[in-house]
Amino acid sequence: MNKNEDYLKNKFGKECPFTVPEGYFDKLSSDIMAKMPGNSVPQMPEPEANADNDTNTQRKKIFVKLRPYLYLAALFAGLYFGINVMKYQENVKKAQVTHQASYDEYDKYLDDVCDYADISKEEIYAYAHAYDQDDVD
Amino acid sequence: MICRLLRDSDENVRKKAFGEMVRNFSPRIYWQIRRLVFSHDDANDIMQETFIKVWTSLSSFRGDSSLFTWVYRIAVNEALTFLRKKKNNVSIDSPEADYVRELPTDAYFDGDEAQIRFQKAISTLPDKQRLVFNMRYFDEMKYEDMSKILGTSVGALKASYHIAVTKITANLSEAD
Repeated sequence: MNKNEDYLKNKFGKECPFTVPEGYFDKLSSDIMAKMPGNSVPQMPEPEANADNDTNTQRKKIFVKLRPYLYLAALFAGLYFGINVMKYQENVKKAQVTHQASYDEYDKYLDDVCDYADISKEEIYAYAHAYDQDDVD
Repeated sequence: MICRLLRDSDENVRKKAFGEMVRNFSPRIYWQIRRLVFSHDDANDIMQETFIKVWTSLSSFRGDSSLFTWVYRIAVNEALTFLRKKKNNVSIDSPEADYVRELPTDAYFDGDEAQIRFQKAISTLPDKQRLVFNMRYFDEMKYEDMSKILGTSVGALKASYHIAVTKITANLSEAD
């Protein structure tokens, strides 16, 4: 701001140009007391008597103020976990589909080989097993 | 400490505590009122009214703010009410506030020509804005404390002060 504020402070300062009669503040208290209505000073109430100072009431007030934010936080937490659970289930299904798809593709491949070579799947499996045995031996 | 004594069942203790409160609080409150109303006599009257109100309202003080803040708030409201009533009584022939025009001849004003110009420029602000300006510029009060007294948000107070400073500077620059 402070360009304008600095201008005022530099040019006019902050001293108070107003004065009071001599001894004004020394007499002020007794002047005011003399003008107070009635003779008796009213008694200020005890803070414990006031419900606003009660600790439990204050805690309740704080909770009431925070309640909407707590509800929002619970809502977002619920949404977050719900979405994550749905994603997990979706991934599991995809994995199953992928596995099934791989098996289906392999099966089809074998069908094509069998058609081409004019042999059965059982002959292919027997041949593969024998090939493995040769490796072991 | 004063609050505790004002709750005492002994009448004499409460009386002494009230007197102590007036002694402790009055200088700071007086100067705030004086800067608003300019005249010492008017400021003195408002101080009397303020403490009468404090006296009669003591039994309803709830303690949700400090005692000083509560008394200060009463004083500020009394001063603003006074200014509102005075404005209603200003004649059409004298649009400039009497208290500003009388400054150069006021026995309790010690400033030079520059100070008179400064006070005249401050007097052109609306009363509440003038109050914010005085509290911040002269008393260097924190915005948070001002907010508790005036019941206005810190943001609004900062904006009001900024505008006040700009207006006063512009007013003084035109005169130069």
